[in-house]
Amino acid sequence: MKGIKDINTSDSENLARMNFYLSSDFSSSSVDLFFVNPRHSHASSSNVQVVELNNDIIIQDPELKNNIYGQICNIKINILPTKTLKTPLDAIIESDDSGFIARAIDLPLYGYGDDRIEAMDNLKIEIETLYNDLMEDDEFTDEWLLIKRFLMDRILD
Amino acid sequence: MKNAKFNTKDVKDVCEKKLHIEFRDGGEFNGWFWLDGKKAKRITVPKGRKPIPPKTYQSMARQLGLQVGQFDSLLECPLKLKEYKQIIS
Repeated sequence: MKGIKDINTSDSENLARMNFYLSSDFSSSSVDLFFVNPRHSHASSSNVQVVELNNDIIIQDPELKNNIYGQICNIKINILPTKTLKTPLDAIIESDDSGFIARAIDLPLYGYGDDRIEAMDNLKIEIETLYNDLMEDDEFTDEWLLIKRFLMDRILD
Repeated sequence: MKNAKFNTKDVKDVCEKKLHIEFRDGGEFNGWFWLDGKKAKRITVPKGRKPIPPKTYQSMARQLGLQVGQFDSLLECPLKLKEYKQIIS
């Protein structure tokens, strides 16, 4: 993952707080990551770049700072598999038994996965697939035609 | 909610046989339900979930415009195509 600034750990709480700038895939502003039970021995040192991140990573909305075991991740989607968004789309990733489900706030779309990344990747595929479907013709109910206009305003084609 | 009773293949089979949804395979299965000559509902069915996790189950119900209890009925058989169309119209 690109753009990691530094890691500060607290061994007594077995937590690590990592400040970094997310890739262009997400919001461009820095966010805090809290991960529980870091598995990399070198993560106990500050100013170390972590190359691999495991599924214990939880991206936290600042309002949920106290919920270190929070199951909900708020994400901004800036790019799709082959298209770019003019303005980000909001999504939420939640755990669902042993897997994860990502849903777009403004669209009736979901992505499913064994981990957060897979769920989000699948959601992005769904958004782009839906856009392509909607652009084929107008044989949709009014609900979907509204969504079509919504996506046309958001996607750089 | 009867998510523990079904797997995602069951959902796909019911959608195909009862609702005549044609699925595309793009990582996950997705397809449209047609109502009165228009694409009215779109459902994405993930692969290989057995049993179906609860939020996944609810999300599929929502995509079809159904309450969870109605989705249970759709999968279990009592809810027929005609009744489904009446619900979402």
